[in-house]
Amino acid sequence: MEVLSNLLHGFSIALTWNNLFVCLIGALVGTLTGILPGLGTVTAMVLLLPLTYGMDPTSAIIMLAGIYYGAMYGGSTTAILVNMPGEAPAVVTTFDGYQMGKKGRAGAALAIAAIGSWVAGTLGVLGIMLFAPWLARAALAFGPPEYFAIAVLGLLVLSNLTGKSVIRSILMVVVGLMVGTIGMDPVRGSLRFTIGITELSKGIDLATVTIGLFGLGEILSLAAAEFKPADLIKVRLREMYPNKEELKRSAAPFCRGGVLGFLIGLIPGPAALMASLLSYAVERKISKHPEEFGKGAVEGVAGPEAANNSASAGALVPLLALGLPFAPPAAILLSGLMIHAIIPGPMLITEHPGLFWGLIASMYIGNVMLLVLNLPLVPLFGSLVRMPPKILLPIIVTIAYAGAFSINNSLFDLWLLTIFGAIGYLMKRADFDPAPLVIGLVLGPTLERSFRQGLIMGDGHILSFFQRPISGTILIVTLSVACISLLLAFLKRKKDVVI
Amino acid sequence: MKSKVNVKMFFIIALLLLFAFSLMGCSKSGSQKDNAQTKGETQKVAYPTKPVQIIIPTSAGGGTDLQVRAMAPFFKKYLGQDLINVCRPGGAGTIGTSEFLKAKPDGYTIGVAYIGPTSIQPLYGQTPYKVEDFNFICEFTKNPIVIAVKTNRYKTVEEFIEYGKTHELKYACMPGGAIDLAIQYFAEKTGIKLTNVPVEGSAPAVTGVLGGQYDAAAVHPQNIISYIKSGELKPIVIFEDKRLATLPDTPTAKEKGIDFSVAVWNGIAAPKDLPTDIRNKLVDGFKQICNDPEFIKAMETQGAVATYSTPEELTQKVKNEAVMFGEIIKKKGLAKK
Repeated sequence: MEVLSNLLHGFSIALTWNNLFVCLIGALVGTLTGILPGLGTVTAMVLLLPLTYGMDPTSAIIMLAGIYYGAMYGGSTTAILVNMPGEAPAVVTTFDGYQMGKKGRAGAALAIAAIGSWVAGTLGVLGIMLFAPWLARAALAFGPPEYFAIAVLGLLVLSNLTGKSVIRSILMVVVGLMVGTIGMDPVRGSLRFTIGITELSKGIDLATVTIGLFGLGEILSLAAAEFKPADLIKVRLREMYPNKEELKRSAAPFCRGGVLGFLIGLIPGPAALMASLLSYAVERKISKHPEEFGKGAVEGVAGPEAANNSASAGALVPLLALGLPFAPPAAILLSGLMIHAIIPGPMLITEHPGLFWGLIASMYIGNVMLLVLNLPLVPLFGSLVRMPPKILLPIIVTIAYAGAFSINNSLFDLWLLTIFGAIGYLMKRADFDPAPLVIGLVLGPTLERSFRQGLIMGDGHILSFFQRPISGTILIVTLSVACISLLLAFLKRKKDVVI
Repeated sequence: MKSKVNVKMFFIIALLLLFAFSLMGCSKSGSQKDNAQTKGETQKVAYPTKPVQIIIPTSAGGGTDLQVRAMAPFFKKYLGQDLINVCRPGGAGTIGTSEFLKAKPDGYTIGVAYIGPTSIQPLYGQTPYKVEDFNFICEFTKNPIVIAVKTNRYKTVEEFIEYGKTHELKYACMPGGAIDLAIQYFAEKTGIKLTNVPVEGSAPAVTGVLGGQYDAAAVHPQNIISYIKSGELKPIVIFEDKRLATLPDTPTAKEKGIDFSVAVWNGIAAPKDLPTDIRNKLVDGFKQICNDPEFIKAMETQGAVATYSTPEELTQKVKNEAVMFGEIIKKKGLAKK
């Protein structure tokens, strides 16, 4: 009951004209941020931060949070239309969303992404509202050894995500892990593989890699291929939206993705991308028709798109309940509060109930706004597919380069983007899947850092990872599953066995 | 029907492009350089006649970025131009630092110099610049350093030291930076064994101490202020000359007989070859900014301590710090290969 009265109080704050307006601004900017490849959530939030100086703190946080969760809505748009992830987590949406687009179901994929985002976004807010303080305390039990164990598990689950050649996948994961070592050593700070280029000491940005490998790579192959005018199927407005069958198949992935994403959001690091990847792996594993994945399975859009939204909600839990930002966008929200001399901490919810409950209520409202904003855009974006590539692609490339520049204000990043675009094109020609490379790059730094932190904590004894209950359990289960499946594969000695 | 779709498409694309470039323009505007610049023909240059960009070697939206944003209205007040933030994070601050040191010395590109890339990183011998390359203008804020522990674990710094003499203690902070080296110096002087668990910033350090993963966290007071209030964390020692008014119960290292003080300071610097008259204008302007009571208040709102040092004082400070940190780097064998 207490929750209900608090929530009502929150709605009374969020439903003022002023707060509705800033929520709408946040949602709008967030959507556009998501749509534009390269332009990241953090950049957009920082750009709008000065606007919040004159607001009261609740309005400020409502607007900034709107950008944050709104960006997860738009990220799928270019992923579905041109294989270019608008935000890094949308890389997973390219696997099946782009394929759906090729089959003339771009509109349906866009709508599924929007609805999934809404379902999971709302689930995520529910999760924050009901469990935030409890979950945040539980998250404190997780230290570096636990993060290491989770990363090992992730590596095992994800290493053959798209189900193509195992050897090629593993090779690409290793390349990704290697790319992840470029930059400053996380323990001693020595420079590694920077070949004398100062710019490389910050490491290779995930967004640059995903835009290059997926987006530019695909655009280059389109440009190199012979142009066949696509069959201009007359698509009626109604057919732009998902049909009953597609919606039915998406319902369960929405919920699974929503819950999974929220929990993964509690872990520090690139949680939204991890959540999307794991959700994809889960959906493919439990699907009755796994062969459709990678060829336009609607579950492959629904699950991950839901997961990255609830992950962004989950990432707010440590901030709101503990005052500790686990992810860069949460750090900007923290800055947004600090400007108003509010220092979030364990007492935030009790000391500033109006702020917390106002934010929660605004997130319910904001998610509805985003759905209403995004669904009418579906036919418009859907019709972009019919635009001649010679016009559409240069525009997308221009936006991608401008966006990549905005990440670090660095011209060097544009060279990196070009290089990864070329690599993406070559990989496509040689039939290498770029997804495992991204997985290696995402997990690599977490694996290394948490492993070395864990070793220091355990005085250099590798067994210390097994002596802690949570990390030990995860590691033992992971290793046994890996051994058993290897053994089974060996015993069967079947040619077509998939590890 | 068809033409309608095309008009719509055109409209969307135009809107998207407009939005893209207006946003990116914002972040880029600072780096636009006026090519048609007068190459110092006139002796008495009017300065500044256009916005000045300031390169910040840390993340956008971080503490330093916010401090400089809060400084901008005062820059306008005393120097008459806009101050434009350009954040160039990475490489422990060395990327942004080497960028503004390499910039054209015309006074339109200056930068934030802070303790890490200035007093420490050159000691590791991996930076493309040297301490002598800085043209210091002023110091404007500092963030003190404390050692924080769980409240029920150690009551006083003596207890902590006593325990550390017989046991190895683990503390969390960013490795190799000012905070880390300050703790190592403290450990060296007190003769206790403190091992760094390298983390990415204050948040994971505080998280780890709260969760009992590490014995202590080395952080700025503002990172833990809410936990001091809630009684969960306790700052047992601060590396300042005097106790802070906001933390009256936290003794300084000096009181405990370890005579040193280190804080993470932020200053303004420019490329070495800046013409003298432009430099003087900047030095005078920043002196006025830093002594403006409104500015001091603005910095305190952000949890920083406003301090002002002249270029000479700051240069001397960097020299002293380099000696102190150099000693500890050598002793602990932290030099990088």
